[in-house]
Amino acid sequence: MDIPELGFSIEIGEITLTECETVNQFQGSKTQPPQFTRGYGLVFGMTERKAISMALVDRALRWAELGEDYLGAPAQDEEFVLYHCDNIQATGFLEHIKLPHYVDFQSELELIRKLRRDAQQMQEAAE
Amino acid sequence: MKEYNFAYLDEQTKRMIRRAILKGLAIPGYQVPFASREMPMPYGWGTGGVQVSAAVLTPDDTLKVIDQGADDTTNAVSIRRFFQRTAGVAVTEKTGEASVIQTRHRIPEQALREGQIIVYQVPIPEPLRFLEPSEVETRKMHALEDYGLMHVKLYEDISQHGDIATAYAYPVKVEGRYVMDPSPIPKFDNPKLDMAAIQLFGAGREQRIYALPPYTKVVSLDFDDYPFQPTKADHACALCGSTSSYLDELITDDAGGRMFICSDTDYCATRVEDAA
Repeated sequence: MDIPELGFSIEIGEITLTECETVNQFQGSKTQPPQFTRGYGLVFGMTERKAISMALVDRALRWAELGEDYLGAPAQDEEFVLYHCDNIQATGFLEHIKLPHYVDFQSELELIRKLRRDAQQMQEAAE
Repeated sequence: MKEYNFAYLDEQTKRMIRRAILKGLAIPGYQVPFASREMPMPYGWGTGGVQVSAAVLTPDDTLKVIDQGADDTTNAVSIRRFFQRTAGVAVTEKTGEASVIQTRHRIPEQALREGQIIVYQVPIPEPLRFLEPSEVETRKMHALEDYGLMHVKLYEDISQHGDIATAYAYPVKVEGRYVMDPSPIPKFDNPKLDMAAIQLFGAGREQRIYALPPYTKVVSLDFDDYPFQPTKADHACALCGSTSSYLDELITDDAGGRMFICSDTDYCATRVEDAA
């Protein structure tokens, strides 16, 4: 960390990281000749499998810049990948169901009753 | 009180949230992303609303918290206690005496006035989410004002069910621009969204804030031949006799007996007191 008042860097701590570069085959596209391509992964701790998987996903996400086709694969979709790595808290949706829902349920009830009443009237009119 | 910064959150976080609120007020109905914090309560229990309330509260404020219109429900009681402990603000159950009202899924019956702030807890801020699962796509649709899909959904409801089959979280259009989810308030409350108070919406889990400045034009989506209709149970309140308030239906015995009472407990209690 650089402290402007001191004019030099000081160490504030150490963390273990695992870094990984993968070399992937690439047979070329309309815009790029065949070549090897790279994916990059960096994770906290000593978790090689996690770093490799990050590198593979990183490579998959680079389809656009390499001129590859979008195959509709989830790993090619940034939003899909991000929402599954750094996700919104899905537990919250379940947790909230423990709270009362009188109001919206009542509103649904009125609507269902009205739809059923209308449907019944239409049926009676038809008969 | 010494253990907590005022209203729990640190000042940097409150500043970040206030910026999002100001942006939301400047672009009514637009969902502003914000760096939602972990709060000491489960996601889905009003973490967004609590962060917005924490950012707008001042030591002079009087806070009211309701869930489903009632001051005495679990969620309302725990959030009210939270701010009593962490902000030391005055609390009230009287709609008229509150300067900040946090609500889950109701707008009080008594009209709010200028100077008041109402904070809504929002589970799913994106009105188009059930029509289009991708956030990239829905943001594009908002940017291009491309709301055809929503109108098709409403039209399909009518052709299939004879009516628009949405009873709560009924979509609105704000100042002729953004389509907005008013949070899961019953559609009975939608006409009140044109109000004198500032309305702030916080979705903690989904990390979005949006807002309506006072007197913003808010129109519930409908068709000329199928106009929007706010609905409520066709009864009077069994306690206060009100025929104009939103009612909850309670089952009272095993023989199908039921009674209808106001969902807004303060409104109902005040009417009962005045009549006595």
